[in-house]
Amino acid sequence: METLSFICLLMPLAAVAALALLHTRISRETAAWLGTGFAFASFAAALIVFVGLLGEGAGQREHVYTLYTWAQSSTLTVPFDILVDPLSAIEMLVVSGVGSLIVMYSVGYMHGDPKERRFFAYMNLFLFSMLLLVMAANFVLLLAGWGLVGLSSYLLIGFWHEQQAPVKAAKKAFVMNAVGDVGIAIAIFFMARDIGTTNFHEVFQRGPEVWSKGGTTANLVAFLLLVGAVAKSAQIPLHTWLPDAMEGPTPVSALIHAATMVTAGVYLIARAHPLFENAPDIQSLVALLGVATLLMAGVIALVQTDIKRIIAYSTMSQIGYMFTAVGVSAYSAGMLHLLSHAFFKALLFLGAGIVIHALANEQDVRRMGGLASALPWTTRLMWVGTIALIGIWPFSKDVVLASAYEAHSTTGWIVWVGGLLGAALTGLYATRLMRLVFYGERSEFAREHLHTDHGEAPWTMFWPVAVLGIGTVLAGLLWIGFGVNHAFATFLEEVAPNVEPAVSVEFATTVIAWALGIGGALLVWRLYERPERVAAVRRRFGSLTTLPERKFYWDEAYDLVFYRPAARVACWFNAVLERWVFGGSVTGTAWSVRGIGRWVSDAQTGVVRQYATVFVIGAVAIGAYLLGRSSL
Amino acid sequence: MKVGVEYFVGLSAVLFGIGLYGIFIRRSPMIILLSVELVLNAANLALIAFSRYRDDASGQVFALVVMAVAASEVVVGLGLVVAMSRRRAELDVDRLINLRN
Repeated sequence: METLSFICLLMPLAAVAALALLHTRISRETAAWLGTGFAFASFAAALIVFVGLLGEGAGQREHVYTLYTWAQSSTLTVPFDILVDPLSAIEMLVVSGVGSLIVMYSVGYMHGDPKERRFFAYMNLFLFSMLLLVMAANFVLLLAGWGLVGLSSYLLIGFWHEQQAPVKAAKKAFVMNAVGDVGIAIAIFFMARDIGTTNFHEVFQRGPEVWSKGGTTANLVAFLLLVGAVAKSAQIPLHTWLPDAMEGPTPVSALIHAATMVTAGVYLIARAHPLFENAPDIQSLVALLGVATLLMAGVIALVQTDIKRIIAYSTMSQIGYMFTAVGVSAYSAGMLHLLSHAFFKALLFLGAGIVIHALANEQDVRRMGGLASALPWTTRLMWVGTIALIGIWPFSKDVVLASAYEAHSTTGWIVWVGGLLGAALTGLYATRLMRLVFYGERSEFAREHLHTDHGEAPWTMFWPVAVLGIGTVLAGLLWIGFGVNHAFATFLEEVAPNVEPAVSVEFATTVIAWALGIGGALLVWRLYERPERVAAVRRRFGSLTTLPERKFYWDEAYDLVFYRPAARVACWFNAVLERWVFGGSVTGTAWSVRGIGRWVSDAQTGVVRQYATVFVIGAVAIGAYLLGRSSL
Repeated sequence: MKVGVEYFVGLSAVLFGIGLYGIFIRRSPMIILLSVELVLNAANLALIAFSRYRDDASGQVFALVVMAVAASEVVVGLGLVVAMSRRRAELDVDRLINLRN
């Protein structure tokens, strides 16, 4: 199992090396399939590891494999070791499984792009980084993976760097993620100081001993980890980079900004839950941030017009649900939602990719419509994803809410009410998307640009979407039985405990959430049946839509609070410090040397006799001095 | 008969004075070079005289070094003279003032 775990981790890295070294010696097509093949090999290894883990006793499912000592500094030792336990096994499966499907999808989607080879190298680099993040057995290695996913995300958002918008979006994502990286780094300093190691096992065991529960340091460490999680998972207040990240190619949005990387924050909190349990205030903060984000993102998703941005806000909203779950100690419920979300959100993104592909790269939903007849299979698969998103099946979201109810705390209540409101919002925006894209009258643009002469999509694009659809349906089976047989929770029990909701609570919550979600969906459906109804609603609530359309002015606020003052200070530094203090000292030196030189050069008259005279006078003077001294 | 050291030093001083005088009043670089040679050899004479007087060989070693330096100096000086005469017929150090700027 040790070898297989390392194979799973290193396969994508091998693909990066191969693609980089072979460069143009292989055709673009070969390069694409090479990247796909290595990704699938990684998935196969992850699958065998997972099966092996299932075969072991419940108490022995934790393996730490050390490759070598990575860094050593007096008492602090950081080994390069990986951890294979139920939590990381689930993540390995999600990352390599969904990842390899999306890489395969890219074979069709990126076909003909001049930078195809580089794209597949970047995708595999991301897979390696993400696997390193979830398999790391200490915080330093986790931070290395954390930074590397940030890097590959940056590279892939800015993949089309000939245009300005992707470059700006990539920069924004990188800067905001760097804030989170710093948070985790400082948390690691605390661990090194007080515990002397960063290994998960020791930190989680000794952390609650050395840091008193609810004390300043405990809160600080949990808060710093939360900063990292919030930045990576695009939660309030570090969320503004995610919608902009949609500038990247669609497979990237599906893989990094929906299925895997953005949920890393949830993984981090679930993994480090002993530290969060030790800081109850911060844990409540996690849940409250989650509720705030899920509501805000749900409202914004209602008024967006870009198909990918709608799904991006929906992702933010769903990660909000995961945050609320881990915020009320329902760790395996959060992980279940992470798992099913990875499937259905990747499905929705890739389906949107098929639509975008068929419509000559158009992303505005107002210019679509009536595509169901042209793309029947895509429509069906998108419905699977939408039903999952609304929470009808698999009901992972309802599980989260039921667990929150069961927490019996103020936070739990806020989460429960907010989450149910969010369920209604989800029903509204998800159905609006389906309705606008696939039904109604086909727009003029769509009639003109729709090209489906070679079928709905190339098979490399269609089959991954179909497999994800099946995966979405199967994910529902993991929690079937309403508290009778929680196969998933039992598997995760050792590493990510759960709140066990009562069957009645789970039933009631599910029914309410269903009612709200389906109610919202039907409302939207009825609304769009008649254009005049839409117009009436728009007249009535038109003034209210400005706020969500401007995304609650977060970007403007950041611009005002951080960017402008920073830019002004920089301008001042440039005008005053740089010009007069630093520049002045350099040019001042040059000026004085030049002045002295000019003055001295006057002595160089060129008259040899003069030189000789000066020389003789000097020699006589020195001689006289020496004689005078010796005679004294 | 042994000649006293003061005679040597006197001769050296006379030669030095003649050389210095030549450097100051003559314009031809050739003559100036000859005068410099005179000055150097006056110094050599003094060095060797003192060396004999004090029975110390280091003065003679210095004289050898001075000869070597004088030889190199003549090479450079004559090179300058040749370069000057190639550019123009008149050999006059005061004209070298043009080298400035």
